[in-house]
Amino acid sequence: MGGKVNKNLKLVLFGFLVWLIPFLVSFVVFPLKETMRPLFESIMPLVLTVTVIVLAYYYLKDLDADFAKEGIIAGVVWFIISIIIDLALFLPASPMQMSFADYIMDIGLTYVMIPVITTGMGYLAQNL
Amino acid sequence: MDFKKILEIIGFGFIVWLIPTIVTYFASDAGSVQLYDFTASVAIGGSAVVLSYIYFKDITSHFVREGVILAIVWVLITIVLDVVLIYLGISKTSLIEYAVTIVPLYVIIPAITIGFGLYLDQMVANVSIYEG
Repeated sequence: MGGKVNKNLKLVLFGFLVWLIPFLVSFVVFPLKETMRPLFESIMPLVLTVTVIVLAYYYLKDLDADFAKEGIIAGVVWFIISIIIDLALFLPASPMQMSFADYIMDIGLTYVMIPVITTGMGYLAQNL
Repeated sequence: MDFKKILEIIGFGFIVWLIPTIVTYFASDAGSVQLYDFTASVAIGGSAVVLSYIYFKDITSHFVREGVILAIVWVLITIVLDVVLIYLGISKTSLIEYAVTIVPLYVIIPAITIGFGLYLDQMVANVSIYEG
C-alpha cells in the first residue's frame, strides 16, 4: 500500500518536473523567440526530450515488472499534467495569455513527445 | 560489426530522415510556422524513438557505444540527404537558412539515441546488481 502511494506520488511529482524544467528553461531562452526563433524552437523540444528521458529512467528503474505498461501510464499522466498546468497559466488574462488553438499549435502538441519517449523506454526495459 | 547491422543502421538512418521530410513537406504546404515547428520536432523525435527502440531491442551489450554510433550515423545521413535535396533544387531553402533553422532540430536525435543507450546501460547494471 505504502509502496503504491510512493509510486503514485513519484509519478505525479515527476510529471510536475517534466512540466517545470522546460518551463524554467523557456523563461531563460525566451528572448531568443523574437531574435532567433528557429534556435528557440530547437532548444525547447531538446530540453523536453532530455528531461523526459532522465525522469523516465528514475521512474522505471525502481520497478520490478510491467515496464511497458508503466511507461505508457507515465507518458499519459505526464502529458496530461503538463497540458493542465499550461492551460491554467495561458488561458486566463495575463501577459502570457493565448487562445486554446494557438496554445495547442505552439506548445501543447510538442508534449506528444512525452508518451512516445516513455512508451519506447518502457518497452525497451521490458525486453531486457 | 557485421554487414547486416551496418545495413540496419544506415537503413534506419534513411527512415529517420524520410519520415520528418515527408511530414514537414505537408506541414510547410499548410503555411503555418507554428505547425511546421511542431511537426518537425515531433516527427524527428518520434521516428528516432521508434527506430532506436527497434534497433536496441536486438542489442545485448555496449549500449552507450551503440547509441553514439546511431547518433553520428543518423545525423550525418539526415544532413547529407537534406543538402542533396537543396543542391538539386527540390528543397527551396538556402544552405544558410537550412543550417540555422533545421540543423539545430537534429540535436534531438543524439539526445534520444545516446539517452536510450545510457538508460539501457543503467537498467542492465541494476538487473545485474539484483541478480548478482
